Parts: sequence; C-alpha cells; structure tokens
Amino acid sequence: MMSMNTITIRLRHALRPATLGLVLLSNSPWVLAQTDAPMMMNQDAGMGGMSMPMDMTHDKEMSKAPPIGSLPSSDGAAPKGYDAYGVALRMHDDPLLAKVQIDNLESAHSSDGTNSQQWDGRLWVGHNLNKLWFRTEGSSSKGRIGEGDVEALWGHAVSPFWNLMAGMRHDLGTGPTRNWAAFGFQGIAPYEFEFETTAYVGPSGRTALRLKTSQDWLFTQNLILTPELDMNAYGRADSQRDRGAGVSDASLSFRLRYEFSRQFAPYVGIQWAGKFGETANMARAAGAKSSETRVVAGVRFWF
Amino acid sequence: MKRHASISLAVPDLPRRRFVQGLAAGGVLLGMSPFIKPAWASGVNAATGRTPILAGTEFDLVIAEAPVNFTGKPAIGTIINGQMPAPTLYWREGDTVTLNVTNRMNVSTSIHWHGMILPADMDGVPGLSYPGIAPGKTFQYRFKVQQSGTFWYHSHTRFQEQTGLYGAIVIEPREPERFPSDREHVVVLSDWTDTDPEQVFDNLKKMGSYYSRTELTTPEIFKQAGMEGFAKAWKERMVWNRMRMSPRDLSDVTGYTYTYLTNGVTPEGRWTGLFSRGEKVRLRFVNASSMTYFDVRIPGLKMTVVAADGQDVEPVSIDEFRIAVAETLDVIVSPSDDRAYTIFAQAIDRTGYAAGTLAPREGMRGEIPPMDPVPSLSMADMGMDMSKMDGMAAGGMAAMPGMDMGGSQTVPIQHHYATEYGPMNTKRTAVASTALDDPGAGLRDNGRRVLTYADLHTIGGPLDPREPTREIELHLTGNMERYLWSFNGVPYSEAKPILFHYGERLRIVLVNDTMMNHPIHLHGMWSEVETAQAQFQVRKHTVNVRPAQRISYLVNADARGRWAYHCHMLYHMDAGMFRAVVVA
Repeated sequence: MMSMNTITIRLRHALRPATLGLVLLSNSPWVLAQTDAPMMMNQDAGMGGMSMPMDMTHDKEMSKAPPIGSLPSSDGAAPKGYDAYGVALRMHDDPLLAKVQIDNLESAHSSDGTNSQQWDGRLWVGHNLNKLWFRTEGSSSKGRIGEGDVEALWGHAVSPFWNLMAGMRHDLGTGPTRNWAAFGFQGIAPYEFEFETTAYVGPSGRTALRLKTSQDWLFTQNLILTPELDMNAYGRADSQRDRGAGVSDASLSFRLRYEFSRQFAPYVGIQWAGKFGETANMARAAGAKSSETRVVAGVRFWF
Repeated sequence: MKRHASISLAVPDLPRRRFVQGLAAGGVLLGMSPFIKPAWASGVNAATGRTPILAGTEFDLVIAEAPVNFTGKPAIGTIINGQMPAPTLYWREGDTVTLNVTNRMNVSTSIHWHGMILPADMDGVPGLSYPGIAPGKTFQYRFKVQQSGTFWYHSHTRFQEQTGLYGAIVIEPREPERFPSDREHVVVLSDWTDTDPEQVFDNLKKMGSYYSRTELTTPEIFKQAGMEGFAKAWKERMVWNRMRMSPRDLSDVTGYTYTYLTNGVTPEGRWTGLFSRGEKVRLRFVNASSMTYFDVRIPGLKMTVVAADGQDVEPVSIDEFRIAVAETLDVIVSPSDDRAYTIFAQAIDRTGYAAGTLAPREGMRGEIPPMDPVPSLSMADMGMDMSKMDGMAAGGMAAMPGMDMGGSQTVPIQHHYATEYGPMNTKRTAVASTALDDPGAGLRDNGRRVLTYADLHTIGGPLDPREPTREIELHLTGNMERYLWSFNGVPYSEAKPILFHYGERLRIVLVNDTMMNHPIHLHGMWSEVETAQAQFQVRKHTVNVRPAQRISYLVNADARGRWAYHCHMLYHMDAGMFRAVVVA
C-alpha cells in the first residue's frame, strides 16, 4: 500500500518520469473507492470532491518537436512496388460494375390528342475511370419507332465530374439509316446541372450536335422535380429524315417523380416540344404541327 | 490454461417494429450450446447485456455464418462463437495469449486485434500479416499482451465487419487500475444493415448519394430565407451548388439502411447495464461501426473521460463526445439517482441512433431525447480560402465559434500532389484548420461540454523523447460522385507501399481534402497526435481527421514488418483509401 502523498505514477512506456508531476491526493473519491491503487487526477476533471494540488503539466520543452512542415517531407512511397516487399494484398478498389438506368420510360399524350411512347436510358459497364456506355432515346407511336437512336461510347473520366465520350450513333425510325461518329462530354456542370453534349459526324460530311441538361429540385427527399432541356442541331438538311439545317428541334420538360426507393420512381410531367426553321417548315408541309405540348407519365428506375 | 466456451441466447421473436428502431428481441438466431459461464468472468462486473465475456490466456473462437434478425427481415451475419458482437475478450497485461480462430465459413476470413502492439505476423491482415484463414482452417494467434485498456477485434476481410464480425477486448493492467471503478460495462456501438454489404458498396459506386436522406430541399431555402434573408440564403445555396457538393454530406451510409446497435441490441430492444446508486461505473465505449460516427451523451450524467484508445488520459469531465469509427473511449459515470439513464448515441447525420439504458435494476427504461437538428457543413469545413470569399460565406461562419478566423488555427495548404488533380479527387483544401478543440459540425456551440482532442492528454507523455527526423505528408482524397477514395488521389491498387525505416521516429501529416471525417488507423504502432505547435497531445491508434483539417502525429517505427494503414470507414477502405506500410 502506498502512502497517500507520494503516489508514483506507473509508467508503462513513458521514458521521462522526471517530467511528470507527483500527485497529492486528498479526499478523492477515487481513494475512497480503492485506496491502494496508484492513481493520478487532474484538477479540471470537474468531478465532485476532487481537489488536488498537483502538477500535471508535461515538460513542454521536452515534448515539443520541430515545427510541422520544417522537416524533409515526402509521400513516403517506397522505391519499389508491392512484390519487392512481400506485400501480397491486392484490393478490389477498381471493381467491374454495370448499371442500367432508365431515366424516362413514358407514355405521352399530346394536345392534339395523339399518343406516343418515349424512352431515354443508358447502360454502362466498366471500371472507375473507364466505362463502355450505351445510350438510347426516342419515341414511338402505334408500335412504330418514329425517331430515335442508340449510341455506343467509350467514356473516360477526365476530371472529378466530367467524362470524355467517344463512339458512334445509329439512328432508328423512319427514313434512311444514318450512322455517325460521336464525340462529346458528359458530366455534372457547376450548379448541379446534369449535362451531356455530343458532336456527330456522318459520312459525306453530315454533322450534328446534341445537348441535354437537367437538374433535380428536391421538394422532399422523395419528391423531386426534374426540369430537362434537350436540343438537336444539324449541319445540313436531311429531307429524307425531315431534318433541316440549324437547330432542328428542342424540348423542355418538367417531370415530378416520387422515389419509392432510390431505384424506382414513377412520375408525371409536362413536355413542350418544338421544331424550328427548316425542320418546322418540313413538319408543317407534312401537315403536322411544329410544336406541341404533351402530358407524360412514366417510370424511372435503375439497377 | 483456461478455456471457455461462449454463451448464446436464441430469441426468435419477430414482431415488426419501426425499421430504424429494430426488433425488441433481434439478434443472432443461433443457439450454440452447451455453454459455461466463466467463473473468472463473473468476478468482473459483467454487463447485463447478452454479450458474453471470455477470459484467460487461451481462447477458441469459431467464425461462422448464422441467421440474424434485427429489423424483422432475416439476414445472414458473420459471427464468432454464435455471438454478435463477438464475445468480449478479457486479457491481462503481461500474459501471453493464445487464440485459436477457426473458420467455419466457405469464404476466407481473418481477425485483426485493433490497436494491439504485437508482431506483424499476428496482426491478422490478409496479404500483409498472413494469407488469412481459409475455409475449414484454424489459425493460432499467440502474442504477449504489452498494454492495457479497451480495444477491439474485427475481421479484416472484405465486408465481414459490417455483417457482425467484431467484439471488444478489455485488458486488465498489471498494476491496479489508475482509475478504479465499482463496476464496468463494455458498450459496443455498431451499425447493421439487412442489405448485403457488397450491394451497399455497389449502390454507392453507382450513386454516391444513394443513402443520403437529409439533403437540403428547395423549400428549405425559403425557411432559411426567413431567418437570414432570401438573397443570402440563395447565394449560400448557390455556392454549394456551384461546387456540386452538399453541405449535408455527413455520412455515406445512413439510417436509410442502418439500424444502430448497442452491444448488438437495437434501440427498441434497449441494452441495459445495471448500477447501484453511488457507484462509479466505467463505460468502455467501442465504436465498432463500419461507417457511423456517433455523438454520445447520457442526459443527466456527467462523464469523466479516463482513457482514449486504451490509453489513460488526464480525467476530463464532459457532457458529450463524438466517437469516430474504430475509436475507443473509457468514461466513468456516477449515477446517484434511483432512475434509468439513457446512453444516447446519435449518428452524426441524425438519421438514427443507438440507445442503451443504465438502470439500478432490470426492467427500467430511460427516456429517448429528441435528436439534434441535422448539421450542415460550413464553408470552412470545405477548406475554402475565406479571404477570397465574400460576405455571404463569412456569414456562414457565424456558427463556428471554434474557428479562429484570424488565422491562428488555420494554415494555408500550399502544396498538393499532382495526383490530387485528376478525377480521383474532387477538391483540394486551400486553408486547413489545425484546431484540435473544434468538436466538428453538429456539435459546435450546442450548449453542452463536448470532448475534443484538445481535452485528451495521455498520461506519461510521448513514448519517445526523440524528435522526428522527417515527415510523410498524406492528403485524404475522394470523389463522392464516383465514390472513389484514396490517399493523395492514388488508390491502394495503384500505390506503392509506404516505407518506414526501422528505428526512426517520424511525423505523419494528414490533410483532409474531402468534406468527410476520416478515422485513420495505423496498425502495429502508436500514433502520437501533436498540436499545431508540435506539442504532444494524445496517443491514439485511430486518428480522426475532420473535413479540411490538418493534423499530425509522431510514430516510432519500432515494429518490423508489413502493416496496414487506412481509413477505417469500411467502404472508404475498400474503395482504396489504404496503404501498406513496410517497416524495414
């Protein structure tokens, strides 16, 4: 049993016993609890009944090291790789994954009473920074695809939010088949805009540009409004596919979805779609309207 | 030689409860018998919870998969001796312990003794210490226990920790306890999901915000506008939107899928620890979560912190503490009233909580206090250079009294590695906080006395008076959008080992470029945290780094071999925030 006023501190590893204060104990509840224990207390412990004159201050000079940043600095990397040091651990920090994401799969009812189906989806397979993408969008009515396309692209992450996309596009629907080389960017622009822009070059010098952007507005964690703007432009007219030169068509839609889960959300929305310039003229000549408003309802899901 | 079987209870009672509350009688649905209650253990003030304790010098641990049920939905857990958490292991400082770990699963496994100072081949990290424990095999660990205090053990194989492979270690000191108590309870906090953790990881890789359920909504801007004016509210929101980041990005995995457990018991089940009035009760907290930081308090009781990461500290009285993943903290409480107290552990993002009861007898329940508001990160948490910000951002600082904007607790980060500029890393901290006395977002200025690292003073000072001779600076990097995590923008698979020269004392400087807390754990050697003025502060095995914080610690490279060094957020680790350290 130790005496009450010369309790030494047990030093498991400490090498500087001289720098530690001795502890004087009096009226400590710790003592009442177990009087033969070596112990030390701090005055600011704030526990009732503990008032011990003591010096717990460590030797500041002794424990003070050279200023941070003053020593030779490196990332510590060894000169050789894992094998040289017998490190067998291999981590799967760049797994192969795949995602199917259907943003819109919907039924559209336009102001003139016609009904159609529209889709917009994508699939990727790949690793952290390199992925193979398939994108598709389009519309059909009465079981026939009116317009649409599929794209196969290699997507390479070039910055935290952006991917460089390169590949090809194949047009679906009425008119002669068109194929394009595709090159563009896809990612998240400042202010949280999902953004996609792609330039296309076809045989015999056809060119096209597509731009898509959307944003999520959260009303609650589950109820989300997504405005989306889509636009297409062509370098020269393609009368067989009813496309004029310049900005051919654009749409602005607002879809309000309810996420029953992160991966499944039905929605309703409204879409305004318009054709411009030459393309609008072609549509009117064919007896169609150059713009229309649609009510849409559909589902969004991914897995 | 002592050899003890473990205890198990089968309670297959499955009423549906509110999801996050969990089942009242959830847990392991496996009965393993017969069992023997260790006589030695009953001498220790064992918890009244169901986690058994094993004591002695020789242990048989059997790892198996077993059906569990915490939420009403049956799932499969990876558990030890039929228990989740695994049995608490009681060791004695100075003893040599032998642990025979048998794998009864059809996949490889491992056990790592977290925070233990031991030979590298006993550390239990597959690919570094040993090949792991193959199905059907037994691995014998044997090492001398050179320390005392509260530690824990867990699998170091893939996501087995998430499915229940963890337990506490309590090491009795050779000398009598410096801070004796009349009774003690181990309190293991953890997070449970019914979803297969491989699926959780895939979900995060496919959608970083998958589990985020506290995002700021559009209507909230009007609420905020009501308080500070629309222009300011709008501007502030736009700053975040411009950065493509969320001030609510506090946890990757949340109460959206997690049920939070206290000693393996749901809040509804309410683990209970007993006390007698007037007793000093030592609570040995272990955060065995995969991904959850907890803010812990016991309304009505002051807590006196006496040890951190198993290391005795100068006692400090507090109301609340934030415990990072993998940290341990010992507190002593003196409940004097004949009432039940609630150990209330809110998840950092306030999407749920773990709760237990301290009561003078069985059958009592403490009240559950309301959760605090969901914290929002500030611009300083983002490491923005405030001198370049306009009045709006500075206004956002008003809620940060802990930060000295005069600059004495911040430091510009001049140098970033070239690898931090690619797609692996979203941002780089321009101005880092060096404050140890900042409790972090959600705890600042909450009216309670909240523990910070500035309060923790390891008794005895540093292990070695030598000055460090060099620095290794590592930046904690990530990309929440793509769910990439790394050091210096380089994930483990593309990195080289970090080389420590045997016998050297070196300084590790960590700069957090991300907007999340990261608990950084060095195996095999202590991390002696220092202040911004390079003065010894506290000895840790797991060092939390706040968003945009710079923190440094000294390490004695006195343990030859290959060691793991990583973020202890499970999915961050497996995403690549990991290094092999070679001491040679």
